[in-house]
Amino acid sequence: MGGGGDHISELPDDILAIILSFLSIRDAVRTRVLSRRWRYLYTRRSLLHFDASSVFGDGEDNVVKYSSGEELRSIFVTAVDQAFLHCKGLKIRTLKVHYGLRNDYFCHIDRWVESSIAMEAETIDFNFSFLPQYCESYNFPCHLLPIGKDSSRFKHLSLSGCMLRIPPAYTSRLNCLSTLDLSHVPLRDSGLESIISGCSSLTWLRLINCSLPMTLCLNGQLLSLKVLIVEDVLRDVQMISLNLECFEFSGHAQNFTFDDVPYLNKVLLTLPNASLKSSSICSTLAMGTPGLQLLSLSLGIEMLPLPPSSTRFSCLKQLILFIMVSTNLDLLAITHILNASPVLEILQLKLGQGSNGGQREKREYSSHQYLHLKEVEIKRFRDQWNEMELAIYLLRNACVLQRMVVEVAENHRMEDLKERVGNTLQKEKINPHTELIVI
Amino acid sequence: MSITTENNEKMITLMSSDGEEFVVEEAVAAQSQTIKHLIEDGCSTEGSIPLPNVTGRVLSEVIQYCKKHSSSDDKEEKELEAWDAEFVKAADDHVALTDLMMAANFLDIKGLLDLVAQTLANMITGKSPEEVRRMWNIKNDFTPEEAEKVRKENQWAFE
Repeated sequence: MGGGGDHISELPDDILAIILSFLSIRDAVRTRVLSRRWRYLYTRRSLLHFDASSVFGDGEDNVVKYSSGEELRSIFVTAVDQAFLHCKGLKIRTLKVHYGLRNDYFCHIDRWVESSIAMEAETIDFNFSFLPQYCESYNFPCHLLPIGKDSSRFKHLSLSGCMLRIPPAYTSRLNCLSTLDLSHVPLRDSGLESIISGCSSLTWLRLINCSLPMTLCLNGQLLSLKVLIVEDVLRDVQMISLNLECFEFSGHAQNFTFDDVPYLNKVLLTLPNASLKSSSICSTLAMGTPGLQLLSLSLGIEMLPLPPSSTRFSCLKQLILFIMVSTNLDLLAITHILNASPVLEILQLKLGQGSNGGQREKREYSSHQYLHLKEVEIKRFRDQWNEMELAIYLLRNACVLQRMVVEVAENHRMEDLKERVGNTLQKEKINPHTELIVI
Repeated sequence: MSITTENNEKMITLMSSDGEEFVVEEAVAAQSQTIKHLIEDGCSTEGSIPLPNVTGRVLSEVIQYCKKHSSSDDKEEKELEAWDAEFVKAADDHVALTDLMMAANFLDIKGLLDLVAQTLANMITGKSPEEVRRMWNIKNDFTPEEAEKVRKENQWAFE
């Protein structure tokens, strides 16, 4: 061991390649001039990631130096082109390009896709949603995707701010995909249909603001699909005869239909301006998704009342509710859904501030026992009477409760609030082993 | 040699290239995929496991890392990160880090390998080639013409 030698350069190629893979493409390329040993090492990276900071560096002056956006784009494209030139014949796992490019460069992007496929890439991730949005008209070149025995390697496609129009002759090229992540990729017309008929191996699909048709209906299609995440403005959402396990929706929808989805165990709905009553959503879910284990509902102000006992969530283990609490709101109304969930273990309440109103009179509490409820978490607690009433109710009725975490809302007298809430709740525990945490 | 302690932890002995012996819990040693496979293949039953590529000095550091990472659970992620940062800081210079990197590679400990690689990468980030050469004693063996050619090829990265 001594200070004089060149220890770094004595490391084997594989190890130097690992070190270089932790550098941005800019810093990695700069190591080429260190010595002959380093000249081509940078190419051995499995992730080719190009965005403004990895190409131009983080220092602001790096970007300011170039006068026009056009100059920047040209440099960016040169950097990517060169990396592909140097990496020729090697393998990569992922190509990631997050940058806005003009249509003069669309043929370059096509070449990058072609090269990545030739380099046996598993993942292509393009994000072109940068202002000004020049790439909206760029159409991902499905015809360049592999066919036959080579096609099994390419598995993940993520596109943002461009198009995915699949010519009928090429729909089968998307067969290889196991995940598809589209954001701001308009699919109106027949786009969704081509995906449904083409991507038969999909297990994970996310469609964020893809201008879907008003009715999103999956009926006996995409049978490998386990996770579906949608954010959009729709009228009807129909999930019928699917093997889906997790469904996440946020945005607008007036009707939900769930039928013959036996494996669906996670549903997360965020409907900020719901025209739907929570009771109707709850009955739809209770009827249509008998295997439901996790339910998260965020329905804006129309959250309560939840349905009376006609509905039943017989497998529900975890319930997450976002509720706007006005001072006259009867929070105990959520007990309907608790009472309908006999094996519930975890309850998470995220409270928001609603309008002010009058106070109600104290009532007799039900003595319904929750035999499986182990964890309760309440966020943004403000010590309103109805919030306190619910917390006390849960402490008295959840006889096997292991932990209640109450996170008090930001407040100029937070320490006082915490102490007061802690003291009040401490007295109400039915189970002496319940751990009460006020933060 | 398998010894069992009071808490019923199975202990094994690791021997460094310079003959130093380290007795550690099997769960700690098994953070290394290489050692884990040796144990599974029954190589630890007779005597200690020899590690001919790792010196005692480096091995003791590696064991420190493995001990910390086998005893912490996921909840302590933040604390573990801080510990990692101190750990690589203590390794002091790039020579110690390269030794550690070689050991992590040979012993196949992914977390340690990534940690050290990231640390070495951070040392280069934002530095000029001249600064990197000086820091790591790298001898520039390009002819001036070659050097100019490589630099020109990637002009964008040097502006």
